[in-house]
Amino acid sequence: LRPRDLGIGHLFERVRDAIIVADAHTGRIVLWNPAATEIFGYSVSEALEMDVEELVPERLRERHRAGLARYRETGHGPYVDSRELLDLPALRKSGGEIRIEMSLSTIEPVRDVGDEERRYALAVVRDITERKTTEEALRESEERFHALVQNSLDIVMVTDAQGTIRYVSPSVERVLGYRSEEMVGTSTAEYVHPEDLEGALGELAEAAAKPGVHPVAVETRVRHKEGSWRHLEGIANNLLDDPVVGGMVFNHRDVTERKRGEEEIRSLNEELENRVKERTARLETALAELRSSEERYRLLVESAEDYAIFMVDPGGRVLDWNAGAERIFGYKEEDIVGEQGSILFTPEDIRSGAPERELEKAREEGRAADERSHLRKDGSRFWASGFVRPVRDSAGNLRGFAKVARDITERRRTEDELRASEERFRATFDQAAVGVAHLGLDGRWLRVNNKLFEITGYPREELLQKTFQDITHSDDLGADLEQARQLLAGEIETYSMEKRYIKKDGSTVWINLTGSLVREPSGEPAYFIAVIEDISERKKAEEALSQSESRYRAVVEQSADGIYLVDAGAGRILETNPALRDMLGYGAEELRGMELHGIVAHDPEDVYANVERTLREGWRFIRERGYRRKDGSVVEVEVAASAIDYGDTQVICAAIRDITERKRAEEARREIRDAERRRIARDLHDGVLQDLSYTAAAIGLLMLQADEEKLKEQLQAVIDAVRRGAEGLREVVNDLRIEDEDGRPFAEMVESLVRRNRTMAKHVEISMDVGERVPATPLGEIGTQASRLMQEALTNARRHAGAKRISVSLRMDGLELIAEVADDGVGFGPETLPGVGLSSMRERAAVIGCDLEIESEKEWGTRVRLRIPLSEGLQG
Amino acid sequence: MTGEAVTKRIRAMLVEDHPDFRALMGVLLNSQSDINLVAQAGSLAEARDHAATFEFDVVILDLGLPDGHGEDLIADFRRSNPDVGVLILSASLDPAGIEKATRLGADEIMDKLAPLEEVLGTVRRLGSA
Repeated sequence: LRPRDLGIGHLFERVRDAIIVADAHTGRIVLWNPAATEIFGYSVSEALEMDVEELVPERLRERHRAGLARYRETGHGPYVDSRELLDLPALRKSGGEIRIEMSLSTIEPVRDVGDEERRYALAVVRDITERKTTEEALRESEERFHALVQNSLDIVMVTDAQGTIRYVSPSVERVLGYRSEEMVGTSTAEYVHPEDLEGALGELAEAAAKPGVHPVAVETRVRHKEGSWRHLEGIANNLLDDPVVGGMVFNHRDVTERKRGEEEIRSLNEELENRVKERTARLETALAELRSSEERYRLLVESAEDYAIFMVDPGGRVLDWNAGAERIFGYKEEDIVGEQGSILFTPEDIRSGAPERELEKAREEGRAADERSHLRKDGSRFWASGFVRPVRDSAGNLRGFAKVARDITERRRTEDELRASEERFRATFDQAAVGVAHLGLDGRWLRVNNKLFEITGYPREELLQKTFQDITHSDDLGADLEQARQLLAGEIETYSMEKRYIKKDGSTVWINLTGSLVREPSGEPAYFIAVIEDISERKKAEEALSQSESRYRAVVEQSADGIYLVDAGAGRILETNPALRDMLGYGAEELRGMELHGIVAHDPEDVYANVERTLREGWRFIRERGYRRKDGSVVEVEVAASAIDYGDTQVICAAIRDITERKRAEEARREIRDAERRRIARDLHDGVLQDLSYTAAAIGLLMLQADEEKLKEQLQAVIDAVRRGAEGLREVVNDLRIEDEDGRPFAEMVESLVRRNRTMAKHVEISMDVGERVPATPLGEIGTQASRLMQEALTNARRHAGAKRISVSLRMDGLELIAEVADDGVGFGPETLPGVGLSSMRERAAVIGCDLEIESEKEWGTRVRLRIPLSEGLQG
Repeated sequence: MTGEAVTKRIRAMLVEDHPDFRALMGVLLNSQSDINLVAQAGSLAEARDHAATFEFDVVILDLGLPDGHGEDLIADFRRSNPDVGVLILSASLDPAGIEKATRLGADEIMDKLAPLEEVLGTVRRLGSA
């Protein structure tokens, strides 16, 4: 048989489920895929040597064989026919037990070589050990309880306070013949033996008086559906107050057989008592009878696999041992019978006398709970739950103790895990840096962490008496409730809002709330989860910022300077202050969105070049600028502009100040100064210089008339001194005479400057170079001032630097006119900081809005560069 | 003076408003045997009078005069004496003034601080041209 024959060739290799085909006749495995190896651990070659039975745990092999035999004979079987998904234990190669999910199916009979029809069974198996473990861990304890109840040999019954049956486990049918559905709704009293009714009512009353898990032993005879009486023994717990159960819980076990056995023992003993002396021989018979009854009892006991059930004699020695005990404790019957039962106890329990105490309690009280850690044969520990009861003969003599125990390690572990997980959750919840709360659908606080008490100022008990509506600021409540409604309606999954709580002390706290809803598995809303963050500090900061903004705004609004913001990219005005609007005669709305060159009385090209420069340099001051009023007239202003980066947008904030008055005053001052300068120049020229010239000439005449050589030399020396004085004075006069040149083209002014300097310093070569685009129009006062600065640079080069060559040049650099004086003189290094002359030159350059750059290096000379920004109409 | 052609003396006129300088130049020029200082003036008006009255070969002219600019006289001198040489003797060497004087026809511009021999040499050169 090949996978291909099943039409699953490729799938067979790749599928994650084990695919196993076994021969129904021999039990041999004939197909085994890689997934099967993965699950069971056997390689393909190993598996093909095996009987499929080896995968079945020992305890299920009988059933396996029976099922396989039936299928072999009839080609049918309940699982094969139904293809029901089976949940079974299975054995791995390692011997370990795993849980599998398996579906069985038939395969079309295949005729082999001998023309004999052979049947095969196909099993598709999935390892669900992991899943089972996970499911086990996650299942609610109630479900586990329920499962236990459902599968228990015991009858578990829940009644209300009046004894009306609310639930009874299906096992009741096996014991009493009633189907559990028949019994639900009927009264327990209907089934109790009339003679036991009073006792049963007493036991019930006893249980009812002790709410919670306080087991009360109950014992009663109950009518079987077919009329016989069954003896039930068990415990009752009053769990009426338990929200999960809400009833009286009875745990009954059918002890009819044991009772009968005991009864027989009792009657036999009676007989023994009566006849012991004369009928010793019958003792044997009676003992045999006893043994046979015990045998029956034993059968019953041994069938209980999940329970360890064994007896010890009054001294604690083990008398018998069922299969469940073997499975749970690991001892075989022959190993333990005759040993002290205390070997099942942990050393610490033995030291504390627990084994003796347990038996003592059972003897005195008729029952002792055994809920403790026990030892297995291999020394490992497990958690066991059970009880010990005394066994007495009919005469009431103690014959020993019956002990029943169940391994609840797994349940304990699961409970521990759940508890740990719960604790972790609680710790996280309690220590969270934000407030976390569960709220009922009515807004009541159900569960609240510590942080929330801190935020609201309410102590726990007080807060838990309130609803969120109680402490929410009335202005914020509407929006909150609306969003909660949307959560409940399923319109939103979560919401977040900023709102205010009123703290216990009456103060307000700003919080950020994130709300969500937890629903029951059925989809019904269960409760709200709220995460609450205290944002008071942030709110305070926002408030402070807003106040600072309004203060700042007030400053801008009240400023006497005109202030506006302009979008540097679009060149459009964003904001203006009242002073600007007054200055230009526009309304705020007229200016908003207006292009910048609409208010600046210069070429757009020049306006945007300034914008660019401000962006590049961050800050810019323009000493003189014309701004155009709405009526077309121009107002003279000075401008301070700075670039502000608003993320993507670059904005320029400019403050402008009307300088009409200042200019007028400056003009007047300048006129006075120039007149003064002219007067001094004239006085020096017409008086002192003429006198000096005369003096030199007069001495020259004397010298011509002198005969004596020595006198001639002396006179020559005087003449030279006078000449030097006169030359110096002449330069001063010439400097003072630069006047009224505002109207001369700048290049022409510089050319005459160069000529004059050539005249005054014949031994220096002064070159002059005028570049393209240098404007031929006058520069006004800036031109006059700039030419004075150049004169100063030339004087420095001639007098102080001892230059041989000086080159003067004018050229354009973008919108700037560059005037440069470069010499080959001594220069100065960085160690020689520019002197007073240079710093005063810088200041004077700044006054006319120019930059002065000075480069100097020792032995290489000095270069003085004046950058003159040209405005409207001045570019060449 | 007609018929005397042994050595023709250079006729010079001096226009100078600084009295001491003018006196000094007068002494200097008169002390030269080949130079005849025919007229002296201390102002524009005075110089114009002389220009119409006298004949001369060379005029020594100061630029700054109390009633005007010396260079403005050049045209007047040329009207009466078309071949007259014009020597500007200036203390300031003001470039604007020099430029203007050159444009208006000055033949030479000299610094008042120049050695007297150079001044005399220039007077002779211009006067005998």
